[in-house]
Formats: sequence, C-alpha cells, structure tokens
Amino acid sequence: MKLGPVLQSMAKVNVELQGFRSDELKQAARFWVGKEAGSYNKEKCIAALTQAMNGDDATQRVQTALSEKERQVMAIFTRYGPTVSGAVLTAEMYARGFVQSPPEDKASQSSYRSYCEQKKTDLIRRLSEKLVLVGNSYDLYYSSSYTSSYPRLSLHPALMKAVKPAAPLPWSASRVCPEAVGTERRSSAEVALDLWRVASALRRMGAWATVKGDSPSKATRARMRKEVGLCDAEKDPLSPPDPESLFYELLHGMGLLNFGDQPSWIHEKALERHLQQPPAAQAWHWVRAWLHMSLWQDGIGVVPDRDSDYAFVRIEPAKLARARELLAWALSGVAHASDGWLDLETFLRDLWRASQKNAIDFYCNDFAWNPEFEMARKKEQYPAGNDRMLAFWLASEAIWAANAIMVTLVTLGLVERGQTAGGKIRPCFRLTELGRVVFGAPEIAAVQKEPEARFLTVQPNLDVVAYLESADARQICTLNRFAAAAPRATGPVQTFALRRESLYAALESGMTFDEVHSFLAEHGKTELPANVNRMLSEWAVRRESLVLRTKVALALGPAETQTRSRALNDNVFLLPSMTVKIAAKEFAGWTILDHEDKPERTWTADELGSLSTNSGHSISQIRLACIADRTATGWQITQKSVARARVSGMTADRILEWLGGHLTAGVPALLEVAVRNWTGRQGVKLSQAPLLRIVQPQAKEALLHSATFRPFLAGHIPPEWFLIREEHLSEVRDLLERLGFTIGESLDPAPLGAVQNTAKDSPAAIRRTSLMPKRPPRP
Amino acid sequence: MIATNEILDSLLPLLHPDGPELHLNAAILEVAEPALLAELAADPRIRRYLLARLSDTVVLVDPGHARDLESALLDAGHTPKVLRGDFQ
Repeated sequence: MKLGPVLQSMAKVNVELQGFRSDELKQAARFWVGKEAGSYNKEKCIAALTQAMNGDDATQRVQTALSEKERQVMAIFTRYGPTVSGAVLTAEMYARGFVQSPPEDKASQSSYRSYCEQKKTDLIRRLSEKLVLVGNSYDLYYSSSYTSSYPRLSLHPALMKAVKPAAPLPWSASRVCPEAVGTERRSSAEVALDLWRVASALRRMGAWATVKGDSPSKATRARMRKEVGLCDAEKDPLSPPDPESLFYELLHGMGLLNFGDQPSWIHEKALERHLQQPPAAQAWHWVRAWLHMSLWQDGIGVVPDRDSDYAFVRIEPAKLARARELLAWALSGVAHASDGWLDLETFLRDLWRASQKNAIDFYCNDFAWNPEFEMARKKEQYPAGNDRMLAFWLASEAIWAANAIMVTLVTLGLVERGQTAGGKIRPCFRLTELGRVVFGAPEIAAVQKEPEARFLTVQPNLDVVAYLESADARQICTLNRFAAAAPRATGPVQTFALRRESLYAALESGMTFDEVHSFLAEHGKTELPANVNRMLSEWAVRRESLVLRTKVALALGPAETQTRSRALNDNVFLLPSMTVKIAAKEFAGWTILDHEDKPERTWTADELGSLSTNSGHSISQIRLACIADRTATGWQITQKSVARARVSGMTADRILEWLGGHLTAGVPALLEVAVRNWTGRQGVKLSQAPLLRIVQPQAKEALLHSATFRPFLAGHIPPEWFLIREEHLSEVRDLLERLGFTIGESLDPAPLGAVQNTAKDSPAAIRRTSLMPKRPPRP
Repeated sequence: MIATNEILDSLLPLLHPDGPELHLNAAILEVAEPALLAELAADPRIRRYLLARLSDTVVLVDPGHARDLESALLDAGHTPKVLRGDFQ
C-alpha cells in the first residue's frame, strides 16, 4: 500500500471565474488561451477560459508558456496539493531557494522599492495572475508583501498532472548527536492497543456525554480514565496530558465516532477496517487526525471549544494547525535525511529559521513538560535582534513543539526519544521506522516485514503474556477481543487475562471458538496448556447451552398450518420473523400478538383489587394468574397472591407496570398503596386516644404554653387538637372546669376535605403572618 | 425424589392458550436441558422476566424484557448466546 505525503490535501478545488475582475481574467486568458485573448470582454474571457481549462492541452501549455522556475513551484503543489497551506508553502519556497530572505542588516528596510521588486519577481504572484494558482486574492495581496509569507493556495485542478511532484527536501540539521542514551519508543501495536482500549471503553459506556465540539465531557473523561488508565503527564511529564482524550480525538478525527445522532456511537466496521490496515497506513491516519485536532492540544490536554479575550483557554485552533503542519513538514525533511539523533534544541532553532521566524506563533506558556532550553534560560542576556527573538521563542512556542515531538509523537510511535550521551544531558530524538515511513511518504515505503508469528505465551493460570514489539496491531487487537488487558498496562510486554466474560464477549461479537483456539495455537511460543484448552472449551459449550432468541415468531396452534418451522412442542412452533401484514394473511383467524406493541387494555379493577378482563389471550391470562387469584366472577389481587408473585421475583413496580399496562383506566390509588404495602414494610399505627379541642386562639395558646397542663398532654395536632394522656383524663376535666371552660361531650370534627390547610392556622403560622410587613399600596 | 417436570410445573407453568395464537417479535430462552431451566426459574432475579414455559427446555420471555433478562443472566454468571431473528 503506497502512502501519499502526510500533508497532502484531499480537498476538492473549485474555481469560480465569475468572481474575478475582467482585467484579471484577461491576464489569465493570455496564458490559458493565447495572446488574442487580450481583446476579449469578460463573458468571452470566461467562455474561453472554461473551454481551455476543460481541454486536453493544459499540460502542453504549461511546458511552453511557463518558465522552469514556475514549473518547479507548481511541482510543490503537485507534491502536497492541489492545496498547500501558507506555512508549508512559505517554508518550501524559502527552502528551495525561490525566495531569498533579506540580509539581516537590511531587514528593517522594507521599503516600497523592495516591495515593488519582490512583486515583480514573485513566482507565486505570477502564477496566481495566470490562474495557475488560485486562492483568496485578498490574502495573497497582503501576505507576501511585507511578512515574507504566503497564504493557502491551490493549483488549478486541470494542471495537477502537468508537472511531476517536487522531490523531497532532506532536513539539513545544524547539529547531529552521535549517540543517545535512555531511549524510549513505542511499537505500532502498543499505540493501536491504546486506541482499541479507548474505543472499547466507549463501547462499554454505550452512550457517552459530550460537550461543545463533540469533545468528551468531564464525566466521560473520568470514566475513560477509570477504565483505560493510560500513564499521564501528572505521573510522568513525558506522558501526554489526558492521554485517553488524545486517542478519543484520534478516533474522532479519523471519522470513527458518530455524533450525528444521540446517543453517540462508534463505527465498528470502520474501526475494524482501520485496525486491519498495515501499521504504516494506520499511523499515517493518526498523524492526519492529529494535524487537525483542535480540542486536544500537545502539552496541554483537553481544551474547551471556545476562546477568551481575558484568560488563556487554548491555543487558537488555526494557529495550532499551522504549527503542526510546519512541524510535520520539518519531520518529512528529517525522514529524508540520514538516520541520526537530532538535538531537540538545535532542531527547533533550525525550524525557527526555516519557518521564517513567525510560522509557529501563539501565546501559551503552560505546558506539561518544559525542556528548559539553554538559550531560553539566558533569554534576557541577549541584545535586541534575531538571537533574542529566538531565545524568547524557545521559552514559549518552542515548548509546545518540544511537547509535540517528544511526547505526542512518541506516544503515537513515530518518534524515538532519548538524551545526548556525554557531559551535557540534552533531549534528543529521531524518527522511528514507522515515523520515517509516515513522514517520508511517498518516497520511503514500508519494508514488508512479516510480523513474528509467535508473540505470546499462554500460562496455565490463564494469563497471556504478549510481546508487543513482535506483534502487529491487528494481532494485538484480536487478542484483546477475547482476553482482557490488565488495567493501566503499558510497555512492550503486556499481560492479558483469559476470562469467561472476555471469551463470551468475543463470541458474542462474532468470533468463533475455533478462531480463538487457532489464534492461541498459531501465535503461542509454547503449546496451549491443557487446562486452558479445557477451560476455554467448557466456557464455549456453556454459552451454547443457553440461547436467548429475540424477534422471533411463535405459532401456538395446530401443527398442519406450519411450514418452514421448528417444533418446540406438539403445539408450539418457531417461525421465521414476519410482518403483521403477512401474519394476518397467512394466519387468518388466529389471535396475533406483537410483543413490541403496547399491551391490550382489557382489564378493569376496583380499588380493593377485584379484577375482570374481556380478553382471553395468553399473555394477559398468564400475567393475571401470576399476580391474582381466580374467583367465581374474575380475579382478585390479594396479599397472598402478591406474596406468591414476590416469590417468583415480581416487584411492586413490575406488578403496577402490568396493571398500568392492561387496565382500561389508571391503577386505583388505594390498590397501588395496597400492592406497595404487601410487597414492602410500610405500616401505620392505630390506637385510641382522648382528644381535646379548643377553638379559641387565646385559650389554645395558653394551654399550649401552660406548665400546669404540660404533664397531662401527650401531643398537639395543630391547629386546635390536643392529645390527652388517658390516665390524666379526669384531672384535665377538673382543671378545665375549674378554669371556667364549658366541656362538651361531642367533638364534632369538620367533614373530610373541609380543612384545606391546617398549618395556615397554626400558632406558628399566625405568628409569622403577624410579623410580615404589609405590602405597600400600589401607586 | 421430585421429578424435574414437577419442579418446572410449580415454578413455571406450561402455556396453554385458549385458541391459536401467533406471537410476533417474541423473545424465547432455550436451554440445553430441563434441569437448567429449573435452576433459572428458581432464581427470582431471572424468573421475574420469564412468562411461561413453551416446552421443558424453552420458555417465553415477558414482552419488552428481553434486554433485562439478558442483563439478569449475565449478572447471575450465565453466558447466554444472544441471537436476533434466528429461529433455527
């Protein structure tokens, strides 16, 4: 499989000729049509241009009407294009010598004269005037004049085959390290496994919460952290911050997550296809996703999808994309240079110069890992000038680049990091084989290396030790389908566990037991232990012994009507799934019950649980028999019948769900209370107690606060009822008579429902009301 | 010794509809042997989702509760093979 340049644009280019002025069209037409086009009006120009641009002789025209240098510039576009970003175009134009930086001592003399000279000789401008290159003319007018940079431009699609793509530019490093110590690298299988584990965690969640930009919410991140638990920057500054979110955003960027509908879901087949690709192709897609990943930022982690004028929230996405493109461009050069270790600080200094000092330019100074570059430490000591600017850049934006190279790209298996050997320890790096293939595409192709057939050892304790360096992503992800990876596992040797649940999940997802067995036998360094073999077989057989079939059709009736059926009993047949329409036609006269429909409302009930039904179908009858007892006139829900239902696992909610589903009216409130009482422990207390009622507020308050009465009172029911201790009833009577009360023998309580708000009249309420300020009258 | 059928009858009665019925989009649970069905029917966490027996090894699932039954089986340590629309 041949990969294109990792920076290659796939965007389709549309050229709208109507948007150009007539003088611009005339100028372009002279190239595309010929000198005679100088006399054309706008409409004629458009017609002639359209015909020429769609014609077959565009390639010939490029050969005859363009200079060698112009064709070389076009070759940049046929390498990366049709569209090339401003950062890459600028870097290429300078690196290939098509543009010269002004001498440093004259850099400040950006006078009108130099602007005019540049305008005349500017190849990009000349090609744009011919509509060989197209883009936003406003950007082009302002960009190349003074800032020595170009905007994003596209080669006219008709000319994509007119010149051969430009050859790669090898990186010219100012300093190469002879050797490195303490080196670290990750295999593509390790990276793919992390990606797979994050995808599996999302799959287990079923649905996950997102925030703006489809980024994972805090809760989703916490769940991924808990389930996957990759090493992060808090534990090791050379690990990425929010690593699970990095892989989440990779899945997102590769289009493997779907957010169009709620809840979000994974494109399982696309993920499977991705993991089946060769390692280099997978890594190529990871880099492409990383280039445009805006909500996970190198050295920072997850950022919100918003900006703030007052506080740093994130690196502005367009600037970050530009910086990543430039870094990828530089690494493409590194891939085509000799395979030596590069001193990180020197590489970044070279990058700053190659990018004309302003391509990686944003504000942020808080990164997970700070390499504390030598020049950055001394930044205040440099006098004004390029070195001082470089030192300050190394103290800010370059830290981002350092995190991208030494952390993100190492995590993705593309870069190997280390430290320079010798006295001064400085961080250094080189591209891994995978990195050279990805960044060096298309010239550097992956060496077709057959993965080691035997990369694992199955132990009798059901652990599988896998050597990830010897395996490829496909094999590791297949292993992880039926063997659970140890939580928080990292490194080139990882242990997986064969568990009944993991094998079951694999079989349910479509793997067969034979596939599992063959995989372990084929890739095992040793023979599969007999006990493991036996255990796996038992688990697989056990699954086969219990089958849950959903969405099937069942015929409960005479056998002769059945065709293509499987008999479950003398009178029960399993049929292929069918629609209600077909069922009604083929089974005329039968009762048809669709289990996905709502239950028929054919039951009636009173509040004491007496039930009747006018339906005789089986579901209704079985449910009734489960929760009620049959009577002469129908059915009766009783404490006993509910207790019987409870024994078979029914809960109050399930009983009420059935009642609610089948009753023609709502479940009577008293019946609901009874069902809940019969299935729970809700109780009431009931006993006799003498009551005293005092209506007059002043007398009520006096009694409530009286020390004399206090020993005789058992309670107060606001607003006017007092509970009297039975043994003191005669003493209370004497006391009330002595105090001049007339004692009535009848209580005459108000009828039920007459008292609407008893609390309103309580002493406390009266006090509150009297203390409330009066509302001022309306003007 | 009580026969498995008797146990099954007491735990999960056989379905006897009054007339011919066709059930669409139904869910059924099939087991390898009646003893396993008796074991499942004796577990209230699972029994609550089983409506009635169709045979000594097949049971009709309460409509709308196939997913609940699947979860309950997994929670109870069983590993059911789940098939959708497959009647063979």
